[in-house]
Amino acid sequence: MITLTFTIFGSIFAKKDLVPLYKNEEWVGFFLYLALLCLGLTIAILSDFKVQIPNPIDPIRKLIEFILGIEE
Amino acid sequence: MQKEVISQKQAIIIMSAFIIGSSSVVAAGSDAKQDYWIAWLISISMGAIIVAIYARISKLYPQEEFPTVLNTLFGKVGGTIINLIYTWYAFHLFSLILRNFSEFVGIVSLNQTPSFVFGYFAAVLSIWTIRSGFEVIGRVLSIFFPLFIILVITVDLLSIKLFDFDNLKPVLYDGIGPVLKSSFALFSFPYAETVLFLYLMGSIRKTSSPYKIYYASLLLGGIILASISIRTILIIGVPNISIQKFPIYSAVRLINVADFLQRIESTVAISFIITGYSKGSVCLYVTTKGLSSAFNIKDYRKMVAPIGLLAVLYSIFIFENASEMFYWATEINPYYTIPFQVIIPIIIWITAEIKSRKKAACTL
Repeated sequence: MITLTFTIFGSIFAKKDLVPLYKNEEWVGFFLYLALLCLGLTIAILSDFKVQIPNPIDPIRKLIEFILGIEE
Repeated sequence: MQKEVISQKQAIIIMSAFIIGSSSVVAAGSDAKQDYWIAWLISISMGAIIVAIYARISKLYPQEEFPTVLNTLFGKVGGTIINLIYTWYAFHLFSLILRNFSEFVGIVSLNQTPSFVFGYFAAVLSIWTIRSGFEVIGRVLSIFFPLFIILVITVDLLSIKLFDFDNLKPVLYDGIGPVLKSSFALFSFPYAETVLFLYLMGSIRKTSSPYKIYYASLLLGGIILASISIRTILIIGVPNISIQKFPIYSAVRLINVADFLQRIESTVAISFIITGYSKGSVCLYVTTKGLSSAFNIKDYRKMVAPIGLLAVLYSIFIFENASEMFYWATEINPYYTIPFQVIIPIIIWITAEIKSRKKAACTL
């Protein structure tokens, strides 16, 4: 479901944004847009398959817990 | 791309709504218990000091985009790194707001609906707003913010009958420690989060004063936030606050005027939609603006959609459950935000002062 929703919204916005970026030959924006969409699609598929995705805030949380001496 | 301009009044409204944000449902600073009002006074004083720094930075570089200011102060590489740090901070904050919103709706009303659905629709609303230009938030809030204030005042008045002033006693029963901890938590969430407005200050009208904007918003947002929180303590008391996930919502639920006017807790949800939308949109704007200037993309609006959708996905796996979200908000977040809200702005301010004085000395 997450993938399907992402695909629907992603396609609507991509049609509105990617085409002008391509036509105006703004390649940095075009490829950054595509890269973000691909990253999003990958995360959406992994989330649907209940795959554990590495969370960037885990190391931050562990560091702060270590500094403050909080035990989980 | 045409430069977006917002008036001083609109900036104050946006910032006030940003300050209230998700704090209108999540009871921030509840560690202070019945001494919340003392914690609020301390936190707003701390907030007043830090926003003076933010306002000073904006004053030194009026009408200039914040990423450009960073590049001027720290060079291309240093400026881009700091810009990307704030981009991450804004993106993370936007995901937190989406998660707060999803959890709130999921817990209080639509328990069977997958939480990501709310996140998607909230994000799409913000995406659409930012795509239409930032000034749209100002215009939307010019209509809805007065409505929000009327709602808060009405709920305050209707709940007077339920007020039990004994709930505010005894004063400082647990000592000053929990009060200071709460003050710190309140300072970082939400007052010092206004650091993100450095990205907006380049879009305010020439005649506007950053000091006026920051202080008026701090006062307006702070007073509304305090009235909501103190009202909750007076209605349901400290023991009930600590066992409720959304105590503000639970407190308003008790209002019953002559068995006629009751179940008005939806006003809390409406308030959250207005303020949460504002905060989310500001965060999305900052993320997009930051990323676009790091990659030299002329029109930041083109990048809003993938970033917004990515934030929804991030908000899904950022926390495993609501308890983890509240743990982050109360225990970790105040310390995690210190570099973004205090350390980096102080470095920027000192560098800006030195550079502007050197420049002034050269021109003399």
